[in-house]
Amino acid sequence: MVRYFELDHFWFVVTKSRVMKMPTQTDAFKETLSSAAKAVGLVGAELQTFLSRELLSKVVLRKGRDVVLLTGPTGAGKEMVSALAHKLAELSLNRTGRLVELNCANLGANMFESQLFGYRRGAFTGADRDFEGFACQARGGTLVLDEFQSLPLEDQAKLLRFLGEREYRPLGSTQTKQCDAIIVLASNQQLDKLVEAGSFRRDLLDRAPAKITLPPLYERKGDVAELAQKFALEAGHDLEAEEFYGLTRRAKADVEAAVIQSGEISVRKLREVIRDAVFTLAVDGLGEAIESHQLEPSLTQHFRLTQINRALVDQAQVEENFDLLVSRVELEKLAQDHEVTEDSLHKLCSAIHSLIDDLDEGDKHYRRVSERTHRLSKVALWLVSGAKTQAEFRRFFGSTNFEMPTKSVAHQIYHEVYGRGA
Amino acid sequence: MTLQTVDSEIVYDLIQDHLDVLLTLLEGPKPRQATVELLGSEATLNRFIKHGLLSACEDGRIQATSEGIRQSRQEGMMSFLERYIVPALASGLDAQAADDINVIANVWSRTFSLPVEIIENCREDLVQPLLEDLLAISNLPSTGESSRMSLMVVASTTGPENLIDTEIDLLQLAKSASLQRANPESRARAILTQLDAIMDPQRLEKSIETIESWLARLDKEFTPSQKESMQEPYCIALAVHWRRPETVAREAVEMVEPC
Repeated sequence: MVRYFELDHFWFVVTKSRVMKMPTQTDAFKETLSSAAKAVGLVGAELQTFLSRELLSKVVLRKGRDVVLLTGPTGAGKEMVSALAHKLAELSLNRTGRLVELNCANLGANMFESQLFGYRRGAFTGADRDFEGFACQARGGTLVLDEFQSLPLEDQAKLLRFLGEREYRPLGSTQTKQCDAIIVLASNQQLDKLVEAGSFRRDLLDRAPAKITLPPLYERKGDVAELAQKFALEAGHDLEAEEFYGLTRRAKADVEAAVIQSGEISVRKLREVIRDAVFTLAVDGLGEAIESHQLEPSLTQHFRLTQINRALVDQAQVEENFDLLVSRVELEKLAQDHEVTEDSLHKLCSAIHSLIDDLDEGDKHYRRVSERTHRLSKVALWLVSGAKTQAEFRRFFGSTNFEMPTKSVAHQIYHEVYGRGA
Repeated sequence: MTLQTVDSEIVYDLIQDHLDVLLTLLEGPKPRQATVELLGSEATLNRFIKHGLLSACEDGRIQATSEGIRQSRQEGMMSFLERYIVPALASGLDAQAADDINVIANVWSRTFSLPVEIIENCREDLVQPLLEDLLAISNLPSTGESSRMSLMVVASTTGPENLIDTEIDLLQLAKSASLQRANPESRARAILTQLDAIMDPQRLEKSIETIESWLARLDKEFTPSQKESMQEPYCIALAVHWRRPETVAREAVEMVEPC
């Protein structure tokens, strides 16, 4: 049975969906990411969406072979993201090793090499036993070098060699070892500035081609309320307050406004503020929820605001997000009504936009335009057929090999609609 | 008719989290156990009772303590739009476009030139009486299977200049209204209100007649928007969405598609 779209409404959705970013992941990957996020306790749909694109392209598709440079302000969640990358590698790439973290800023003088590569007993004064080293401990897993920018230049050179060759020799040993860990270099510093100042090697930056920069908290507007609620509930749980349901909707809106107004960068700071508010209010007895007037003193004090200006934040958010909201709701409805995935509709909308842009910009190069219409027609054909599987799609056209598309064509179109391919 | 005004943030959240159940209870009392099942837990029912929204009748059934509830937005504007307004608008627009026989969706709009004082008092002086009339209709004895009706009233002095003709126009008006409502200085010049009530087909028909009479009165009283007018342009739109209850929908389908 052919299912027809209501074209007027579909065109409305196409128009509105221009503001939406095109998802690049399959449903399967999204589910894997979601499981990984749950396992490590990552909260925040906005951050998850951001990371899904980044981790897919920087870790999973590269099979963890490229060194990851993970930067972001203090408290932005680098530790959490490293854990997520590790978990994702476990689920997507079947890696079975551990997540091992070495904080380079906490190392004493001349300890980097011995801690990272390990040593044999007697290799140096104080080496009273063998130590396998962090690189070895992370075999088959993930090695995170936190605050690696604090390494002295001499150690940076050793790190550079290690990253290039993935080989190392424990101190006092003649045996060369291979390191197959996914390597994550994490820093909260602006590394370009350190390079200019001469305290950081440019070539070390270049040796980490998979760069992920975490946004500061105030840029993750959509996540603030969810994070604040999580921290409030955690504190309530610590107090064994059974009736406590967290923050009221209005209090959450105030938290959002305070974070955006103050330009707060740190998730850790937000956690402190919320927990402080909960424990302070608990002195007089915690009610069902924390209301905005109860939370305001904590917010203004900790974020150094004279007043929380919700109106300004509300207006800015409506300007920025209204069209996106409408397109999301409409796309969801259309997908539901026609029993296709949102991603499929998204792909179709995105392909239409590309085609229109090409024609508008005067780039009417036939081959390029026809490539785009070719993609469009494949996706549209799938949607019209109402098929959910390749077999169903083939059967839509008939029951004989002569009538059906070949298996390889069906497979290609299936991936065009559902797969990762562009 | 008793109308309860809710100012508390906690009560606002409670209502928003269980709106459908509360609407059902506004129709009439229900057995305690059934109410607990609808609300999800005894603890939630106790909260409703504690906050004076529900009470126990002498026979043990649970009833709403008033015939209607009025509340002002107690959350961020985007959260309000996302959770409440835009999905309701989208359902209505989609149904209108699709000629879905299981959904009644109507959109009416007007543009007027009005003095600022009338605009700023429009919500209380003009719209509130309409809402109370519709609430009174929803409290009439039920004559058939009922379902939730949502009425959106959206108005703004910065909306589209012409009548609302398309979905895009209506959403643009909603956006303008939400921007004005988010700003304390311009709040009074816009309306973004939703009424939810349980209606059966007969009450729904009466509601639509009431809305159309209301609009006819506005047409008589006010002049249409004029470009050279010294007064402010004011665009107001009303959108109704009502989904037929399942058994009624089934019968309607059988009527339309004879076996």
